[in-house]
Amino acid sequence: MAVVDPVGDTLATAKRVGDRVVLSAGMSTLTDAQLVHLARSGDRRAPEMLYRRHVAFAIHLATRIEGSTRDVEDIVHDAFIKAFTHIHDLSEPNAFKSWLGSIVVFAVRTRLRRQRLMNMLGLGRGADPVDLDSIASHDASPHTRAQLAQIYALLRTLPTDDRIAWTLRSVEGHELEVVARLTKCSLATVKRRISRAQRFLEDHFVTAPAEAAAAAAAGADDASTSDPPASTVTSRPSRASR
Amino acid sequence: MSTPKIPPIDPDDLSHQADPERVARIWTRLEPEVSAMAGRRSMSQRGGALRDKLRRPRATTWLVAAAMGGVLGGGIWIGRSSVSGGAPTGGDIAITPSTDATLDVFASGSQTRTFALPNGGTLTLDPESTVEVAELSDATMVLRLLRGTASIDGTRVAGGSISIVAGEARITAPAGGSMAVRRNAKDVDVTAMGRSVEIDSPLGHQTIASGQRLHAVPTHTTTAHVVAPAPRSPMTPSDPFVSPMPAHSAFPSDALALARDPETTDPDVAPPVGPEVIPSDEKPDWLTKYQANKWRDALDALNESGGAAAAIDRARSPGELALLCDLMRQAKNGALSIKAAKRIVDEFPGDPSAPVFAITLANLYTQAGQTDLANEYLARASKSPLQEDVTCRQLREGSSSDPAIVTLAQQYVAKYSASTFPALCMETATSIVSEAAAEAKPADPPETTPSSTPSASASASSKPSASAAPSSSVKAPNAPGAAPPGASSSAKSPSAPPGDKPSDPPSGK
Repeated sequence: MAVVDPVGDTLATAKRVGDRVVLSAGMSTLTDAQLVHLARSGDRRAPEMLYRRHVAFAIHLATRIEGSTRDVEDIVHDAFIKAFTHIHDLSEPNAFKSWLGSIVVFAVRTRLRRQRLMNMLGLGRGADPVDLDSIASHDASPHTRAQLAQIYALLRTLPTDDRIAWTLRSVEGHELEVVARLTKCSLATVKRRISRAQRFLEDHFVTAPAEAAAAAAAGADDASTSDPPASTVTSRPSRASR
Repeated sequence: MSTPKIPPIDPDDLSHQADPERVARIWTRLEPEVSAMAGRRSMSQRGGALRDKLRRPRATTWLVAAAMGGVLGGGIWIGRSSVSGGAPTGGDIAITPSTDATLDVFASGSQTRTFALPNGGTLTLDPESTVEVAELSDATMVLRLLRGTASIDGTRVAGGSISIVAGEARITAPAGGSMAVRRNAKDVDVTAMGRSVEIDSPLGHQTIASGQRLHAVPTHTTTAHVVAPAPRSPMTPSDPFVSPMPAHSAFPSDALALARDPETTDPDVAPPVGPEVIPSDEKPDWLTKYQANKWRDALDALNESGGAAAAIDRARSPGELALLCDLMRQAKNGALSIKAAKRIVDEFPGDPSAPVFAITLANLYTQAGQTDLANEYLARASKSPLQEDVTCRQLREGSSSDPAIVTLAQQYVAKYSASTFPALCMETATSIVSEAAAEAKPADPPETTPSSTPSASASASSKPSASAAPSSSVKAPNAPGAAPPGASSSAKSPSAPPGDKPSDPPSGK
């Protein structure tokens, strides 16, 4: 039986909440499935423990897909409300996290599409500048921050589904199967979307002259793969010239 | 051939937005709704199959969605034509009082809004306030203030009272009276207007006259731990981790009874607050440090005050023991963690958290390889909301040749086949039952053999009953005194997910 690591992210998140840590004392060893059961039975501590355990995941997911923290609190709040409201419908309680993730992805997708529709109708706020601080760490180099800003600016021009799939794969670093599960579509569709987004980004991404020269010198060891590009987070792809 | 020139993204270069303030902020918004939800869920469980009746048919949902889509589309079309046809209006939007008495939730959004109440009064909500109707009858109207500030003008109310409930606090204005209530994080501020207002809160009953204001009326029962050797410290009656309140408690007995019995707990009561309400002069140093997220300092403080083992021995409440258990687990001191958890389970078996700690102990003993003890504590958790989970674990870890497991599987199938929730391990249970039936079958004499010997027919008639009802010498693992099934080498795929069906799509609910 899976046992949650007591010193892992579970408590790391819980401790930050300070005084209220006592509320879920003793619950940190329970698995998600057990907490889901308790929540279903009306236990008031279980939803809080589930929240503390997965809130960081939900916040990062929403922020990195949307590219800003503007609506992230609303999205995460609504996602947890939805998850807790429909918790009795979750047929695989151990899969609470991925279920929550799919709710977050769906919520962000809905917002992005609605925003796009409102802009089309002339009722939207128009395009906001990229909120770089919500994406890039302050510890990242200026060069990296500039690259991330460029990537996110390009992502905004992509269709919502392509953008989501690419972000989940290349920014969040999820496996393709996980991306498929989070976006509720087939593996083939996910691969197609990621490939399309990757092609677009590579066609439009502008590298600094020095970097481009270095990439060109790095050479011809470009291995073509049938799969969409491997996660740029977990495995750094080889730089290759055209 | 394309050239991958998108730079790799290092996770360390990404910003981490889950800062404690944001996490706490979201939870502050979430908590009242989750609390109310948990209360409703617990009530609906008592109501049995009411849930099914309340569920709307899927076809109706789609029809409503289609109708709303049509209305939305038409609205956009009309809106766009009216915007393009006339000059846009400037300035403030005039808010007209809503007269929709069928609303069960009132929310103000970003502006102050006024609603007409069914009993003739009016409800005014400050921006970002939410109120839901908890009870509505000729004699009384109860509104639950979820957040923000609500003002009730009852001057036109002919009869019956209006109450506002916030957590455990209930503020009641008689007919003709008015009041304003603001909900803060842990308390409410009340202002009486027109007539006196009655306030029932964890502090007891109070009355304030017209024009008076009462600040910081607590919304939840808040008391403190008993920390040895300070026997005078009151405890938190609503805290499931804390043992029952001493007789000299300053809290009303009905509030105590309410807190002790989870079945009668007010659905609006927020989750129990913990030892953070211990007066600072009585709070042990380690606890202060632990709650300040300094667990290493808390450990040092514990060691300075006689050591963690002594603190566990001294602890008198499940709440304190729970914290010590967690602290020891953080310090990777499994023995002391087990010691604290054992005290909760063994000495406070009636505490609501005892089953949770029984599971915790089972997990800790499993990690330590002590399966017998793990199973013992697992069995203790079987009489709890986690019963199904415990049963499934026993089914997965037990051997299908064990009659007790077969009995348990049969009981599981009988109990959960009609459950409103998806059964956790129905496939496992049914496979155990069918395996047992299949094992019993080969011994059956062929039905086409008319010349069975008397002994053979006796054997044949006894087999089906053996599979359907176990021998009386076999105790069900859940029965008191029954030995829990051991986690043997014949365990059936313990890593298999408990559910057999795929997760439902979030949007499909």
